[in-house]
Amino acid sequence: MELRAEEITSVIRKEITDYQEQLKMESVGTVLTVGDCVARIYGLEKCKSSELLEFEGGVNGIALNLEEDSVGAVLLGESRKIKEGQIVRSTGQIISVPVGDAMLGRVVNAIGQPIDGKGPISTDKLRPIEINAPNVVGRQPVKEPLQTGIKAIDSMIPIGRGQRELIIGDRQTGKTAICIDTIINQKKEFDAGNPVYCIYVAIGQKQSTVLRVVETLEKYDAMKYTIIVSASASDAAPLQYIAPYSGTAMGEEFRDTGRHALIIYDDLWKHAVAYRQVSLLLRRPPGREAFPGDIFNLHSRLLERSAKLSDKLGGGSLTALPIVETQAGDFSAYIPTNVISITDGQIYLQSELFYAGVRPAINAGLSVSRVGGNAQSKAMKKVAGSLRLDLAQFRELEAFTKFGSELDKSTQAQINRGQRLIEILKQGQYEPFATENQIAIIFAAGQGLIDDVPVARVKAFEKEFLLYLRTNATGVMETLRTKKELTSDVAEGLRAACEAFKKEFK
Amino acid sequence: MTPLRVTRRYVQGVIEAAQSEGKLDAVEQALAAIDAALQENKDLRNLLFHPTISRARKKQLLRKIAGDGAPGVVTGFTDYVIEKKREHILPSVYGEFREAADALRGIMRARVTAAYQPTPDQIQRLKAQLEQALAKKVSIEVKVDPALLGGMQIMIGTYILDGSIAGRLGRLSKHLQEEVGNIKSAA
Repeated sequence: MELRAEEITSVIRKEITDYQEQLKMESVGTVLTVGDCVARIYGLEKCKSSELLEFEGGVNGIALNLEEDSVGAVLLGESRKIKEGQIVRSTGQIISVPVGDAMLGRVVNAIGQPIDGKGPISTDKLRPIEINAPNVVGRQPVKEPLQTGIKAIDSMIPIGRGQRELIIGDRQTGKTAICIDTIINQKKEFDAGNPVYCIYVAIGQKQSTVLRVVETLEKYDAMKYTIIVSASASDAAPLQYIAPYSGTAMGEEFRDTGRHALIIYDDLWKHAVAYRQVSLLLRRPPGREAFPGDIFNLHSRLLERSAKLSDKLGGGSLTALPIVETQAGDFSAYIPTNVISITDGQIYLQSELFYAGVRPAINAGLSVSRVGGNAQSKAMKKVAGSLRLDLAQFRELEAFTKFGSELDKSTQAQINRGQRLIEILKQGQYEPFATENQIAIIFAAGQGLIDDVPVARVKAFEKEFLLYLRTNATGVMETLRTKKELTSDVAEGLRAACEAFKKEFK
Repeated sequence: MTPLRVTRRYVQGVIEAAQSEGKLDAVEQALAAIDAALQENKDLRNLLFHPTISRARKKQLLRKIAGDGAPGVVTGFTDYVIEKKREHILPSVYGEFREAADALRGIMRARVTAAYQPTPDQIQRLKAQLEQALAKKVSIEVKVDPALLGGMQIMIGTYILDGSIAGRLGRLSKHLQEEVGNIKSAA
């Protein structure tokens, strides 16, 4: 919508005539030194920690170090505009970002300004980026599932709404792919009128990567319930440092209004690196791997804000999927161990599996979900119960197959079952599975109904079997979808359908 | 440690010594003379900060600048500063000293920046107003900066009262930008 020039003039005239100003004493400081996106400021006596500071020329900063005679601040903008001796004002607030439904479908920077060229964002709601996490009374246990649409995760490592599940792995193992698939899978919930809003926070990513994510989400019509917060590799370190907090503030708006949201931090390793840079420039003492001493608190206070709220507070939830990139499979580095201990479980991705064609490359043995089990539907719990065990046994026996040795019948059977389970858990990118389909196929494989299908044909079998179920077993699938329970009737129905289909399948 | 913090420690020592001898004003004058010389004379600064020039020469030089009548506190201080190789604090000593001495005397220093040179009468009235508001003695330093367009800025310590036209226009412009942003987003 275009504004006419005369309207603007009249509005401006009104604003100017109504403009009243109260002169007041302000506490100010002067810039002593500036450089590398940090500034040291003399004065600012009443300044509080993490207070928003205003520099001349419109650049903002955050006071991080309060010292005897100076204040150390990080700059959220170009440090080139700031000169020694300029006046700095404290604002008495901490930095806030715009939040609300108007943000959906937009790409914004770390301070909530749109960077997608789609014009200003019309929201007057602001939230401070750092607030305390909900306390014990305000929470309740995780109980509703957050469907990722990925068979291996929804069956073995279920994620509940309000949970924090770490995704960890080397570069190029499909960490982001899992998150994007999860966002795409929320479309069904959105269309059904029970949306899970998604926030994707890109920290220190290449702009091209962020663009690819946006394009993918647009292609799958997932942007309308998604906000993307981007602090890319070329942004200043302080912006990368605050980006996850801004994203969380946007998610909390949904959580605190009784809705559900999912936030993805991609990735917290780069976030820690940005914070390390800022800390070292502020001359805070370095610790292990040169990270500052409060790096654990940095992540724990961030992830604590993801929660399932009590019914009294509206029952909203914020689920977090933090990503941590490991270097050459080193899970025992400082940041990965920190975040593993903060989160409610982790999904391990391994490059060996990835290159062996197991995609998503989830290591089922090392991945856990500490609280998601309560959120799993009854039917899924039933079919997935033996899945993890079967897979573990298969991994143990797998070595034998490589020798080509003679095996007894039961061992051979276990290996056969395992190979088919592995095949079943493979899944293409951008192909989220509906829960009932997941249950049906895992049921078939787990019960040994497809043990006589050749391994190479399992994927084709799966595809056609699901089509067959949709047309020939509508009743069973409908009960599975609505009741989410694997009653004996449903189990029998599935078994019969599978036997019948196998006769057709060549 | 920032040079500022070092200066503060040294100045604290000087001021205590000066006070116990009751020579606060004399010390201040001598320090002012040194400061003025340092401000004006770049060569002098280079000389003082030069690493190969002997301490004895530097001490002698500073004694000369301080003048024959300088109190012992000042010469003792300059000698000690040179001895400890803290020459770099010298340019900031006078400002710190004056501030601390003013605090002792119960005087607040207001730095007034105005667009035009105010008349003595205006300064008197401003002083009276400020003294009334702060319930303290106020001494006023006036600076002229035509960039302010009109009105004045008063700075007391780290507090600022900005009544200049430039400052008010800046705030109005910020306010309008915010308003226009709101209108645009509402449209």
